[in-house]
Parts: sequence; structure tokens; C-alpha cells
Amino acid sequence: MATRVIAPERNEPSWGRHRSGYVWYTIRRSVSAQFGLVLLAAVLLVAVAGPAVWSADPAATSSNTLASPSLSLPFGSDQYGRDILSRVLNGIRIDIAIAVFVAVLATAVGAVLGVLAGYVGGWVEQLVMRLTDVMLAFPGFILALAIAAFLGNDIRNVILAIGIAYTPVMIRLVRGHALSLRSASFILSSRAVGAPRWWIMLFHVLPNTVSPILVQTTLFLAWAVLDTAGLSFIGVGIRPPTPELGSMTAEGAAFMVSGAWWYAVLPGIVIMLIVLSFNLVGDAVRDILDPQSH
Amino acid sequence: MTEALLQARELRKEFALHSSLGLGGLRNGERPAKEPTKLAALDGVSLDVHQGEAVGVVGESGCGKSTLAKCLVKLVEPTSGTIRYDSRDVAKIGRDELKHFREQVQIVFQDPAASLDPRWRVRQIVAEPLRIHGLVDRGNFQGQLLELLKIVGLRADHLDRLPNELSGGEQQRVSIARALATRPRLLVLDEPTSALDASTRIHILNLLASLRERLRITYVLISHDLSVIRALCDRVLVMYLGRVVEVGPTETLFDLPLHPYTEALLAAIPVPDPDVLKQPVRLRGDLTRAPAAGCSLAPRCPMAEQACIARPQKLVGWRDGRLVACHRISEGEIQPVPVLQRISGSKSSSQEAGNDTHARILPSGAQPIADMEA
Amino acid sequence: MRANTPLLSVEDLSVDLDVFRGRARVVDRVSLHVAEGEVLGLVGESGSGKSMTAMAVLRLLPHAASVSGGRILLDGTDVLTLSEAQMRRLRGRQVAMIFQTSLLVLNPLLRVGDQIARVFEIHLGTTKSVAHARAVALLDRVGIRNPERVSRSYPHELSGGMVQRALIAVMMAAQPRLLIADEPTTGLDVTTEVQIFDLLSEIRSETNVAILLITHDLGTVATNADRVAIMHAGHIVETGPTRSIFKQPKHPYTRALLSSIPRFDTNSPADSQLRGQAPDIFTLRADRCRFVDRCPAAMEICLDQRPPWVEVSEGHAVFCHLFGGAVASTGGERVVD
Repeated sequence: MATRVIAPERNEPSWGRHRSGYVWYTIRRSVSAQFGLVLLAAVLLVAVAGPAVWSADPAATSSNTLASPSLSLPFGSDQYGRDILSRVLNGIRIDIAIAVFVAVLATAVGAVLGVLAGYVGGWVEQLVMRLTDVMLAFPGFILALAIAAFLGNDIRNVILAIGIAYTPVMIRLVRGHALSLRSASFILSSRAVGAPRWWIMLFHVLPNTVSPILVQTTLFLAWAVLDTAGLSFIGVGIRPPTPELGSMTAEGAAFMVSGAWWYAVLPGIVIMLIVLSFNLVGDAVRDILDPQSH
Repeated sequence: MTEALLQARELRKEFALHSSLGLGGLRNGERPAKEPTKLAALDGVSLDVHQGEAVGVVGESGCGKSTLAKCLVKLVEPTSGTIRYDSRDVAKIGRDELKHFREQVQIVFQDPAASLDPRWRVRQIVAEPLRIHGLVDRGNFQGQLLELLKIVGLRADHLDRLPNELSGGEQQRVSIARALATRPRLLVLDEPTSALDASTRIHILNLLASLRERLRITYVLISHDLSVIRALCDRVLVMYLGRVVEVGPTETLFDLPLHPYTEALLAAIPVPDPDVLKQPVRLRGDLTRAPAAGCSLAPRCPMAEQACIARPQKLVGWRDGRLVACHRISEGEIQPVPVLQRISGSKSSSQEAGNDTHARILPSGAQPIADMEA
Repeated sequence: MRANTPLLSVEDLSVDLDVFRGRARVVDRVSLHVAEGEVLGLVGESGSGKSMTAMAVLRLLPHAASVSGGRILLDGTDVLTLSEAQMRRLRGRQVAMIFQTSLLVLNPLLRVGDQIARVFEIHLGTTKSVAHARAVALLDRVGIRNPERVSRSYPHELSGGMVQRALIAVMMAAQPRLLIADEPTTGLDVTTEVQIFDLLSEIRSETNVAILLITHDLGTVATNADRVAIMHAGHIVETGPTRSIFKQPKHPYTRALLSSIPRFDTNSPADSQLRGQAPDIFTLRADRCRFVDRCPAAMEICLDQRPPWVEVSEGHAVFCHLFGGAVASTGGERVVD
């Protein structure tokens, strides 16, 4: 008796299983993503290995002031005769570190408050959102400025100031997603199964907002570099002699007129490259997480 | 007569509508009133479900069946009315009893993909109820999970998959396995097969039928698809615009529908057989909310008359324990007729009984309302 | 055979899809025809390629899809050779299309009446006021109460059934000769569905429009179509007059499909003959039967030869080796598992 040729129920290979493949596919297709990755890798490499390779002391003054770029001083020297290149190399470390701390702070606090506001609702939401609304009424930089001015100039305060200024952005973003998830079938299903609210928020809502959170975090990284530089530029952020790219640019601005362009321009270009790499990689992350061609 | 396992009485669920757009008011393109209106998704629904039964709830959009499903499992609180489970009023139970309730009463939703957390693997999804209720068998957790999968026809290699690595049918099986994890006595199924392909649908229906037999669970099956109801249910409730319009055993309801809405429903469902003749019973116009007084179907009913708008709609008994909410039928003004007939060969049971007339006979002098402005 | 040529004749059409997962032939040398005034029901499960076929007729395929072979003859002219400008004149005028209501086809920013009137203004060159009056008349014609009010309403203020009727009104405004209806009632209540088909039936008798009705619901075609074509994984596997298909289904897929539908009009239980799932078209080899993995009557030859089209009775043809000459000549072996 003939028996049937029966196929097993087909396993559709998921984008979850092939995630690594999809990541490479997206990157291969995007020149900007490739460029961004390369640039970021270069920036990080320089941040990590730079000061070791170029070991000149960033704080050492000398009589060779405002020297233009040369082989021994690739970025020239400042008004105290300090090697600008070594200051820039250390400055990169500082700026990136600040950016990372800011991003982590704003993300952690913002995500938690956002989930609480969006999922729990009620007075919790009212409280958090009214506060958020007030903070968002001010441009982020102004807010950071106000807080930094209040707290004082050091690295810790700069991180706090910018981090606090960014938090409402994350809160609003996450709250929106948490709100829409509230009525999702799988959330209802977990409620029906008896899961308490904290369980649902921690294990269901939060993991499902990771994508938009991650995208926003990469944006925070890019913004933070600019805002740190900006705060230092106007004197509210990192004070000299700590090498910070923004304050260097500020100091160098004064000397532009006399022709010492390298002092302001070179650190400025470095800022730009760091921000550009964060932005491009952030775009790539967003493309991977939100595929439209999929 | 044993007490029903689940008893709902006069359930009402109202939603307030704040905008002038959307469901509220009338949808013939009329501008609704300026004040926020209240929409009664459930308008006095009562239901008895006995142990071991499979009760079907059928109706189309706006009838409130999904809201009813959610009320029965306490995902939504009714505005008024009572629900008693195991003789206890579920509105008044404390935390521990609520947990117990959630072990005993479970629900499976319509959209299989949306019912599973896209980031959780099957093993976690099925294990969740066990963890929450402390039912994990530490010595044999894996075995426990595999047992559940086996019941619904899944295999060990499904355990580590993500929902998007499963077909629609497999996803629904996972939902069912999860619902069965705490060995519930009552399972509410909200359109369990509507989002599935025709070929998958029949597999899931067979699964549900066999589960009912093997595990002796009670079902409340919500569907707009009468063929699904017929396949699984002993009794059917027909709903329209938040009210129950007919109740009866499945077989007799199909052979001889009482309420005009039930007739229209049977007449509308496409049958894959060119030999089946249907009475062309049609509802007029589009879904319109009737004024509070009177029958909810009146604006669209082919048999409506003036009295239908004036008299309140009540669900009353008919023969053989059947219920109908149409005074013209229950008071004998109009005779119900079978809607489905075969052209040649087999006859429906009411034809056998001698009722050959195809046309509806209206009592003399009565005129259906020509056009009812709601 | 035929006194006059069919209004629409799709010949050997192939459509390829190019996405991340690879390249697949979603429509593989499909042929069908629709005569004037006739309703052809194109039935298939999701992923069978039925919508792609329809979109190809109007040259509205998504970016990732492209026609890779065949002809589409509308009244004798191959649509695939026309320019985009010529296609624009054709769409809406000679061939109209309606979709599932859940797809936002009506512009949510314009009033319904304006959208209907536009069709008159653009395609028929009528003046604004005349066009509006005709729009209202058309809404009334499709069974909408208060056509004046509805004409002044926006799409989101109307129910699904009304939107679909308004869409039909828009589509019929230019009096097309062919209407492609892609799942027009999916997602609507059955009581609304039957009203929509009543309406289409009336329009047919008035204008003799031909309809290509695409659906996954066999019940719908049983009542509403003159002829049926069954589609599976990019192939049309059987085609014929409705009654013939339902009463004497030949192809194993058709038979399995028919037997697996739970019936509500009888008490006989449905039989789950349909095993497995639609094949993964990205991994299929060319030129073989695509149903072979699920077919209860599969043979060796099904694995590597494209099935033949065999006419089994008047107008009723099957795409299957079981009926082809191959079975007789080679004494086909059944594949044993």
C-alpha cells in the first residue's frame, strides 16, 4: 500500500536565528554604515592606545608656545607650550567616557521611569509625566547648562547635568511604547496567567522596548559629546587644565585671530569625527533593528 | 440540577467615548452628538456554563463577545452585573483566591502571533504560569514542559524556538499549552482559529476536541464562524450589539434558527457547496446602534414592526429549553423557518417533519417597517 | 472553441520576488482567462501568489517583485508592453481594483464624495457640480442610506461595510470592464459580506462587468463565481466551472482543501487530509510539482517534471501528473515513504 510523502511542518528560519547574517547584510548594503563603523573603530583605537603610543605629557609646559604643526608637534602647541596632540588624545578618552556615563545614566533612569509611567499609569504616570513635560520645555543644552552651573565644574557634575537633561527624552519615548504594549495580546495573556505587574514590566515590557531604547542611547552618545564640548566651551563644563576637546576649542578660539588656527580647529575636527561616527553607527543600529526591506 | 460552574448575570460594560469620531453614535455618516456618549459593549448579558459543557458564543463585530470573554476571565471589570465561579462572586475575592481563580480559568486569544512575547522562547512561555503559581517540579522541570507540549502535539525541538520561528498553527498550540499548564477547569477561547489558514484551522479544531475529551475541560468558545461553533459546542448563544438574542442546543439552532438575526447569519455564511440553497434573509443597511428602548436589531430587521421599537427586548423561553429575544417569534406571530436546504437528495430535519414551506408567512395586516430611521 | 476572445487572458505569467532571503518565483507560468461579464474566482491560501497575479495585471507589483515572463492580454493588448502613461489611463477606467477594507485605500484626508467625484472629473471630464451630484447618486445606488451625509463624511467615520461600498462606487464610476476584487470581504462580517456580493451581482447585471475575485474562502466562490481557479504555491492547479470543481474535484490539493473545511450546514466532521504546510518557495527547485511534499498520491515523476495541463471535462482542467499521459505510459510508481 502506498504511503504518503509527508513533509514535516516547515521551520521558517527566523530573522532571530539569522540575526548575525542580517546584521552583515545591512552593513554590506550601506556605505555610511561601513564608514561609520570604521571611523568608530578608529576613534576607539585612538582613545585606548593613543596616549600610550604618543606618550608626551599633556600637562608639560614648555617655552615653545603656539608652535604650528610639525613633525615633533603634529597638532602644534598651545599658549603654554603644551603638546596639543597629546592633550587631544587624552581629551578623546575623557569625552568618550563622559558620553558613555551620560548615556547609561539617562537610559537606565529614563527606561525605568518610562516603563512605570506607561504601564502602571495612574498617579505614577501623572507625576512622572508632569515632571518630564516641565523638563522637556527647555532645550536640552540649556537645561544641562543650568544644572551644571548649579552643581559646579567637574567631570562628575557634567555627567549628572547632561544625564539629567537627557532623561526626560528617554522617559517619554519608553512611556509611549509601554503604553501601547499594555493592550498587547501577550501582555493580556500574562495577566490572565496571573503574572504580577512587576513581573510583566520587568520581563515583558522592558525587553520589548529594547530596540527603541538602544536607538535613543546611541543618539545620546553623539549628543553628549557635543554637549560636553559645548558646556566646556562656555566655561560651565570641564575646566582647564583638564584636557577636554570643547574647552580646548574654546581656548583656541581666542588665538584664531593671531593665526594659530590649529589650536581651535584640530580639536574641533576631532569632536566632529567622534560625533559623526556615533551618528553613523547609530543609524546603522536603527536600520538593523527596524528593517523595512525585511 | 447542579449549580453552573460559571454563572454570569446581567453583565454590563460601558465605555465612555470622548471624541466625536469613532464607534459612538450612529455610523451612517451622521454627526454624533457633542457630549461624550457611552457605548454599552455588553448590555445585560447572562450566561450559565456547566461543568463539562462546551458553550459557543457567536456574533459579529460590535456584539461584545470579546468583551464578554475578557470579563469572564477578569481581564476587564464589568460596569455592573455579577460573575460567579464555583458559587463565589469573583468581584469579591481576595488576592489568594484570585490566584486560585487564575489557575482554574484560562484564556486563549485570537491572534496566535500577538499572543506570544516575541522575545521569549517557547520553553519560557509555557513555563511562565508554572513559575508564577509555584507549580514547578524541580526534579523534572524539563519533563513537565515536554508533557505539556506533547498534549498539544508539539515536539521537544519546539522548546527553544522563538515565536517567529513557528507557524501559525504551532503558535496557537503553544498558547493552548500555556493555558493548560495549571490544569484549568474552564478554558475561554476567543476566536481560536480565526487567524489561521483553512488547513491549519481543522488541525487546531481537532486538537481542541480531543483535549476536551481527554482532560474533561469546560469550554466557552467565542467565534464569528458558525462552522467552528458547530464542530465543538453543545450549546450556542447568539449575540448582537451587546445583547443575547438566542440560546439553544447547537443542532436545533442550525436546523431551525429562531431569531431573525440568527437566520440572517446562517443565510450569510458562505457554504462551499453549490447545492445548498439558502433563504435570502438579509439585514438592511449597516451596523447601527438602536435607541436604548426596543430591540437592538429593529433598524435592520426584515421582520421589524412598530412594536419592535417600543417594546423592550427580552430573552424569553421557547420550546425545548431554547431562548429567544424576539417577541414576534416567542409570541407566535411569526413562525421560524429553516434557512438551509439542499436542492436534491437529503432533507433537513425540519423538512422531514413536514414543514415544506419556504416562504415566510406573516400574519395578515402586519407590515414590515419599510425604512426605519434609527 | 471560443467565439470571441476573453476579456482578460493571462498567459504563462511568471513573477519573481527578490528579498533578503533570496529570490523566489512566486508566480510560476500561470495562465488564466476571464470572459466578458464572467466571474472567475481565484482561490488560494495565503502565500499562494494570487494577489501577486492580480497586481501584475495592473502592473502594481511591489518594488521587490518583477514580471519575468508571459503575457497579459487585455482585450488583445499585452499590458506588459504598455508605457506607464498608458497604464495610468487604463487603471480605473478599463480595469478597476478593490482591496480588503483594512488597507487604507481611500484617502483619509478627503471626503468620500470628493474622491468619487474626482473619478468622474478626471476620467470622464465632467464638471465639478455634475460630478458631485453623480457621486451622491452612485452612493445611493450602492445602497448607502443618507448618501448626502456620507458623501460629506470622511472615511474613518464610516463602518467597514460602508467603506467597501463607497470603494465599489468609486471603482464603478468610470464603468470599467474588468473589476479585480482582492479579498474584498475579508475582515468584514458575513452579514455585510453578503450585502456586498448582492451589490456586485446587481452591478454585474447592469453593466456586464467581469470580475476577477481573489479569495482564500471556498465558500465565497461557491456562491458567487461562475468559474474557479485553484492556486497553490505559485501554480494554478485546477480550473473549471464552479459546480464541476466542487462536485468533481480532481487535483489532490483541491480535494484535500474541500474536505478539510468544517461545514456548518451538515453535521459530518471535517477530515484533515491536508498535511504539512505550503512549501518554502525560496528553496524550491524549478520544474516540479509544488504540491508533491504534501500529496497523498505523489509519484516519482512529480519530483522532477513539471505537471501537464490536462482537460478532464468541458472547461475543467487539472495541472497534475495523475491525469497526464505520463501515468499511462510509464505506469508511474507511487513513492513509498
